[in-house]
Amino acid sequence: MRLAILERGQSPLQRALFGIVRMVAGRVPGPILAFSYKQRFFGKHFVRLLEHCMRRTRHWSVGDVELFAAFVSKKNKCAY
Amino acid sequence: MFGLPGLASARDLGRLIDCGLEVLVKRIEAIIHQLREAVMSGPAITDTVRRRSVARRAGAPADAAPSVHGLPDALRAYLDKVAHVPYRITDEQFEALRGSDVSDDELFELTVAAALSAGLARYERGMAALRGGR
Repeated sequence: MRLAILERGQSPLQRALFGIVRMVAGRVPGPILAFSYKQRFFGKHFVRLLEHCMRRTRHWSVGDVELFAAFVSKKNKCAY
Repeated sequence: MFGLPGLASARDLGRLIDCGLEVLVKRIEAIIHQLREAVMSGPAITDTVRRRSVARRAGAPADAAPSVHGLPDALRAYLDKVAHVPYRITDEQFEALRGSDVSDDELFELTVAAALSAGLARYERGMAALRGGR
């Protein structure tokens, strides 16, 4: 179950991009829909946070960080 | 020893790594502040009082959650699941909410407020444990 407002896209460009993703992958992944809707309310800041947490650290490799994320997601019973 | 001026021991290297990590954590916490402000106080369909009340409830332990005035029971039950056991949300529960007085925009905004608050509460408890608190 998904909110229709997320599936529709907010601008012509977003709708076109979602259309291309649907053609290639069958559906737009849920996180992309949630980050794209009302970006100033949530997505813009959250994507910046994600970038810093997942890609800016020099203490662990990208593989290490992805492994941490996969482990935590599994503990939360959340698909990753 | 490590070929860098002023770096004499493994302990110095450890301090350098800790210092770099602290800088990253400060940057992350500045972004978290902006994110929290946008979700709790930024322009949205749902009024700020309701967003903040939902966030306070979601960030509290499940057995000590403050009540949210004026929230329909079905919406409250859904938001409690978002905060604590999101994997138990069913399509039927979600569909029932969409048929109620809550608009899709409100549902999106309150879901984000609850999920963000619960996630940040877990982050803060983890950081407190790392820093030697409870």
